[in-house]
Amino acid sequence: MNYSEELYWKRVMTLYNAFQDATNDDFKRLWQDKLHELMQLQSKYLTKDLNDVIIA
Amino acid sequence: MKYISYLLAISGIYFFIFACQPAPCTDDGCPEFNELTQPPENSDVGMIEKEYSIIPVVATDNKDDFVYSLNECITHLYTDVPREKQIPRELIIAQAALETGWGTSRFANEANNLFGIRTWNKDEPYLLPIPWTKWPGWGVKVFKTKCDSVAHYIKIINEVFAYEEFREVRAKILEHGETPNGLDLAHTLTKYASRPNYTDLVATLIKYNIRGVYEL
Repeated sequence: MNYSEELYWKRVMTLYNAFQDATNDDFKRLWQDKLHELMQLQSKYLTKDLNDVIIA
Repeated sequence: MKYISYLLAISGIYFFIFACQPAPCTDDGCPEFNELTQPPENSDVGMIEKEYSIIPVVATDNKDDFVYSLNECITHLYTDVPREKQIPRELIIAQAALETGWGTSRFANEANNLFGIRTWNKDEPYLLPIPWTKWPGWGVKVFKTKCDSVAHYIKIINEVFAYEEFREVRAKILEHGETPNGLDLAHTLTKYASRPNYTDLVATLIKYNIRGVYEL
């Protein structure tokens, strides 16, 4: 996993944890939307090699 | 003798080619990247070293690093901002966290813009939200560093007409000899975002996710 992939997954985890920890519905929705936006950028940050993604 | 000289010539060419190859990347990163992120060792570039030390880098790896590095950036900027023009740290951090999802957003990392600050000037560097491709009359302003966007945000809050109420409330609190805090001022930022409950979200974030969690 290269530097940009590692950073990408760290950011995904940050938002996922924020989503999990949120008790307020508005925040749950907010972090979920941000997580969704970030996941849409997956192809930009991850390599084309599928094995790399699986290892990550 | 002839063969030895051939051998020496070939090995010389081989070492010359090898020396010209870029060094491979390791787990510690690529040499080119390290050159960009670390100040040069030469002592005759003091100015560059000074620049490295004066612009704090806002990290976006995780929530804690984001909050503490953003706080360092604010400390750096506040050396030049008088007390009456300062904005509570917890408010700046809460707004940046909301706008960027704790520093994870595309605008935060590709435009160095932590507050969704827009530009209406097409000649300035900008990013458009996905999937837009045509200039709709505005773009998200691209900053040189994330800390530059914090400086710009402080300037906007202190100068733009829409935040006059914020400035009035802050001035009144200061007149009473008190220090304004994020919760006092969050409700004045109704014009910052179109989301109807934006100021409630900022206040909630300060109350439950910043206070008592981070020492600023």
